Amino acid sequence: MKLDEAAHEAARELRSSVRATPPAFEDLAARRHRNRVTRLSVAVVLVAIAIVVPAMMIRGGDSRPSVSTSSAEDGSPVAQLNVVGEPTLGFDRSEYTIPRPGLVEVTFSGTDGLTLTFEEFPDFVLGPTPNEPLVGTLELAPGTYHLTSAIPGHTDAGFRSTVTVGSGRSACFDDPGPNTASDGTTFGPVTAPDSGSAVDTSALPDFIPVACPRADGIGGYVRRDDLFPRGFMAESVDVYSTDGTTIVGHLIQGKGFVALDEDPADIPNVTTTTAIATSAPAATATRQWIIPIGAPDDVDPPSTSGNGASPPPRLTSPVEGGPVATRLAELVAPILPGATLGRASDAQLNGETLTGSVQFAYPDGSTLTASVSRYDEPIRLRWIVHSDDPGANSALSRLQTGTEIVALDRSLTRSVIIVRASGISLTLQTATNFSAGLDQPRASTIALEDLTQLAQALDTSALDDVMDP
Amino acid sequence: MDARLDSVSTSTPESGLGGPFGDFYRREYGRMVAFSLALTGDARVAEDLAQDAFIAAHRRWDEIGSYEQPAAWVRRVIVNRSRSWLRRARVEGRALVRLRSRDRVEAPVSDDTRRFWDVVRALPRRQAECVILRYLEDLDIAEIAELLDCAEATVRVHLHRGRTALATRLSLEDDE
Repeated sequence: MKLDEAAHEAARELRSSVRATPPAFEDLAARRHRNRVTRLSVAVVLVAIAIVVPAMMIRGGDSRPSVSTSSAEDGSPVAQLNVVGEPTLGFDRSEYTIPRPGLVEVTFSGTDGLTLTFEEFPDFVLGPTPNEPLVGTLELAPGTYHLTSAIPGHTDAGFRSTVTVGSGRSACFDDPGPNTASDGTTFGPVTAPDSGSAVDTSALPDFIPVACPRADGIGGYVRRDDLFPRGFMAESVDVYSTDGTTIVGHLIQGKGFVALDEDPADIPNVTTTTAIATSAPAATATRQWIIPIGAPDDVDPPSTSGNGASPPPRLTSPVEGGPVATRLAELVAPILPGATLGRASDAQLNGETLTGSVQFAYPDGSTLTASVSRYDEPIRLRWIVHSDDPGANSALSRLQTGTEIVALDRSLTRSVIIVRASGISLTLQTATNFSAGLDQPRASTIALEDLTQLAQALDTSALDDVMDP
Repeated sequence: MDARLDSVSTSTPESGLGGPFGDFYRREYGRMVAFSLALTGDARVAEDLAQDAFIAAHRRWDEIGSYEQPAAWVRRVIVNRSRSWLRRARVEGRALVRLRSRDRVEAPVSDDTRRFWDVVRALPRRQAECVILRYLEDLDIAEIAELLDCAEATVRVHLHRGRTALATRLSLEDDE
């Protein structure tokens, strides 16, 4: 059978599978909302609040479409407020904070039989809690709202909390600096350890600020435990507001902080990468923090099946001396004087050869790995620098703490991010911005000229024929 | 291309919104859901995305309605939101699983058709989008390029790679 023929038949059948009669538009909002929560078996009420004079409108109970005053024009929530009802008739936080007004997705979970409502919006009720979290959506203007229970007696028993919605217009806000919440949770930047020493993760604050890549201030905080000891292996890390529980965005590879109501696909990749070492390995060992290549949107989504969840792409089957690695070695070797070519191999992603990497060793024990990958986007390069000698280069040692980062950008096809470290290894990757916890400016004091030349000397277009069969 | 949609839906008492937007909504709804379905593979999500897009269009209808092809605007919204959905499903999958544990709602299509679109969705995102826009939406290269905000040459490359991969994975003859 021919491809075009099969495609047109599949298109025809897919079109015919969709009902031709649309739902009444006036009920779309309510219907859409019901679709979203039917499987949760929850009662959901949507309230729209005018900025000046709060007026409530319950979706489904009002035939009009909702009136949004949110800055999120596309209807995406600006925050996910996660509230937990405790068996002691209390909420898990005495105060929840949302940096800016807009649509807020409220998730209520916890002890069975509890309810959540707002004193200001008594018709908005989540609960009684079943075994699954309940989700509702509210549009909140700046101000303070009071969370409580719809069950008589619970409020008097202390089942109350507040939700403070800031008046910020952007997703980012001024960094409040190091602080400690009433429950002892600590917020603040990572403090660089002494040169050459390991970072003590246990001494890090519980929440680490995430720089706003496109504005001043911070976008929120990432949980220390979400970053370490995994480093930045995760494609995306939740970013919380100052309460440490309300999700306001994500730290996404290639994008940096992305607010919840932003579409990463609409955000250009940023050009700098920073990462921080967590521990110094044994002198003879190196530890790699491999950031998955490419931003999430650029990684081929594997086939979906079952519940629709997609497994992450997998690099498999190293092919020693594969064509990509061989070509890369030919390109890199001349611009790395003094280095000895080590392992060169290709790798497959979901069965297709798409990456190659070569490793070079220096007399001082350091190694440099250059790898190249191509998914469906221009070639991306990453560099991994290893050093088994923490004292060999003080500058590298400083980099280990994340205090000095060299970052270069040579367009998407040649962008190179350079971070060097001693005693550890860091992935160097294009178009990534992980600046969590790094409150210092990016320095460029480490052999920048050499590295610049190296970056410029490598013509990735010479890889086209092997990378793009 | 948009004219073809006249045969998909007709005005009914259930969808009695009047005016140009009402006509547009009734004419395009089914097709946009199908488009969204091809992108996501989940019938419920497809309706959600399409409805969101129409709500967004309604809010800005004064502007959108003046476009030569308002359907193109809705398609673009759907593409963007499908990316967000896919990202959320993949990147935030653990959170969704934790909070919602939802299952995919299959469209009532044959196994062959389901497999075809599953394989399309397994392509790199942009390849999949190009293939869907080409075969399901019947857009030409220039229209796809405009909708995806990329060069026509890029679309050609994506389509070529997508076709090649589809032909291989589905054991079909690619006569391109």
